[in-house]
Amino acid sequence: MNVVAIGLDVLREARHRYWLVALAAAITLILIVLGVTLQLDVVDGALASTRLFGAVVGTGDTSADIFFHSVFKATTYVIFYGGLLFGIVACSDFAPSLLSPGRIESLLALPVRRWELLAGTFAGVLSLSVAGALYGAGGLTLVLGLKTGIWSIRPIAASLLASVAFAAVYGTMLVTSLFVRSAAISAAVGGMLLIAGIVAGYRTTIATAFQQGFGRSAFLGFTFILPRISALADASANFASSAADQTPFSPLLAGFLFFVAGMLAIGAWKFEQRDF
Amino acid sequence: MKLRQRKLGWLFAALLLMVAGAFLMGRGEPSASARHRTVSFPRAPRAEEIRRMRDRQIPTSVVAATHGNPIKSGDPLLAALPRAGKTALVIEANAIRHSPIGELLIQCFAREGGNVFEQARDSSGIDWLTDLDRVAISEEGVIVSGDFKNARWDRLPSWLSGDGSPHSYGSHGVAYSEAFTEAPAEGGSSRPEQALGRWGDQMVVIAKSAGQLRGIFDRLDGRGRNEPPAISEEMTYGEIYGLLTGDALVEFLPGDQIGFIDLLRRAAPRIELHVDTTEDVAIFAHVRGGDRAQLRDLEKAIAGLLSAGRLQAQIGNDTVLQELLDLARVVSRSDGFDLELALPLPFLQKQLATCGHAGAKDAQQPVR
Repeated sequence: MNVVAIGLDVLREARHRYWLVALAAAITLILIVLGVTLQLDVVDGALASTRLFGAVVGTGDTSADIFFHSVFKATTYVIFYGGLLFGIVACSDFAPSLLSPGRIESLLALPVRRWELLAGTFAGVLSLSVAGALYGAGGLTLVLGLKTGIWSIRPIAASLLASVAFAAVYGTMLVTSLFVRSAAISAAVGGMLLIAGIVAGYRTTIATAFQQGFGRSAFLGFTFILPRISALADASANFASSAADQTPFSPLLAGFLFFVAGMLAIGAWKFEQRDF
Repeated sequence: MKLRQRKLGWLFAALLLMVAGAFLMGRGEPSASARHRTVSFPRAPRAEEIRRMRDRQIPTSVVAATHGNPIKSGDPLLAALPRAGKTALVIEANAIRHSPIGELLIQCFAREGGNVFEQARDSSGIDWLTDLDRVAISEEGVIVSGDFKNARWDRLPSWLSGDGSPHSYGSHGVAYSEAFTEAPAEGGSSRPEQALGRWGDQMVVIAKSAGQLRGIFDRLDGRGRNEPPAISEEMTYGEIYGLLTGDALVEFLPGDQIGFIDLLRRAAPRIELHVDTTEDVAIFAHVRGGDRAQLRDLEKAIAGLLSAGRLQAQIGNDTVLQELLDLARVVSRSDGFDLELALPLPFLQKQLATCGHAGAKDAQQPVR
């Protein structure tokens, strides 16, 4: 219960953040523009023509399904990586402000356990991410569905996978803040984890650039523990587009959840140790 | 105490969760590139090679008693090689013949050409599968050692023997070259024509010129300058071993790699090579040179080429090249670097399986 209360407190605070308001406005604007300007003529399941701002950008009897698979795939990548980048920047100072002198003492004076404070902050930020992803992907699905009559829940599900990736990144940022109370360092670590996670997703391919021996083993060892962000992005894009090569990604997803839980456990350990 | 245990509990749980997460995320990843196949590279002489070195020494007392010549003790084939600093390579033909790759090659020859070895034995009296011991290749020519007592010297092709009349030279030397004379021609060297000779029944020499053939005989008789040979006895391990100069090596490289060739020539005046064929074909090159900075540049260039090749093979899904380049590596040393390359036996078996496919039935017959 305490976790939920703290999470709601984080959401209340987020309402006053310029960045998050800007994100909501930007998503809304894009959806409105697409809703007003995009004109898709679907005849008997085939895309007869596509108009954007009145100009014809595509003609012919492309199957509407195939067209939407590509659109969903591209959208998933944009939501995935765009959302991650935006989330890293916008949420980097939540944890440092929670730990700021004056505020943390008052929070610790409440009948709340330290790990609940941590989990509540994490849950609050994560719910922001989920809401953003659902709003963007849901809005797009709605626009395309209304215009073509083709409805798919897959882009929405794929956008939730992006939130799982953000959970891994934000969990690390939150733990970083417990070691160094700095929004800049927290964002930098988040950015580095994003890049490292993209590399980790292709680790077995990249490893071949190293010759057998210490270099390759060190690279594989280092990337072994990292969340495979690019692998999850590819999996969610394939899922959204109903691609033929649907490899089961449940172990990957479970791995991310374990990573997040592990990070929060490190955070709880550090939080318990600190004196305020 | 309880608080401390609880704190440690968080850490322990974190460790378990992270490791479990890593394992789960690793599931479904392609594991081919992480695979490590062990290949034994010839980095030092093995016990049997030390024994082989010892067996090839001619004891001084025996030599002196038999010939009365000042022949130095040691391996006669090494003594016949050019002096230190020159390119020289020795192939242990007999050892390779009995190695897995040797068997594969013989079967391949049998499938392709039928009885090529029998034809050679009938025409020359030399059985290439049993009479050959070693083949030494140097800047001066080729020396083949073995047992040539059954060789038909009277049936030599005219392009090798010239007028066909043998000329004795030194203790055991016999030359079959027209240009060969007992003493060097006045005022200059002999004509640069191939010259064939033999040293007893142990060695056949095909020198690039009669003068070089004479020089080889002189060294075998111990008359040469007292300088160490191109290959020292400590280097005689593996089934192929020797010393290559950078200049000799660049001849095998494509001409468009000007920058690399230039760097190789400048940085690596000496490359010691050892090839092991006891199971896989494992190639080990120890690259040395005086300029450490240039050597490091060369090391980086080769490592970069291998790295780019591996990535290209991976992207192009070339599993054969991928497997080969995966076994190649550059290892930094205090006096240079080592280059390791390998052709695994399964790979060779696969490559040679299709060789001479039409006569595949012959391959089933045992090769003597």
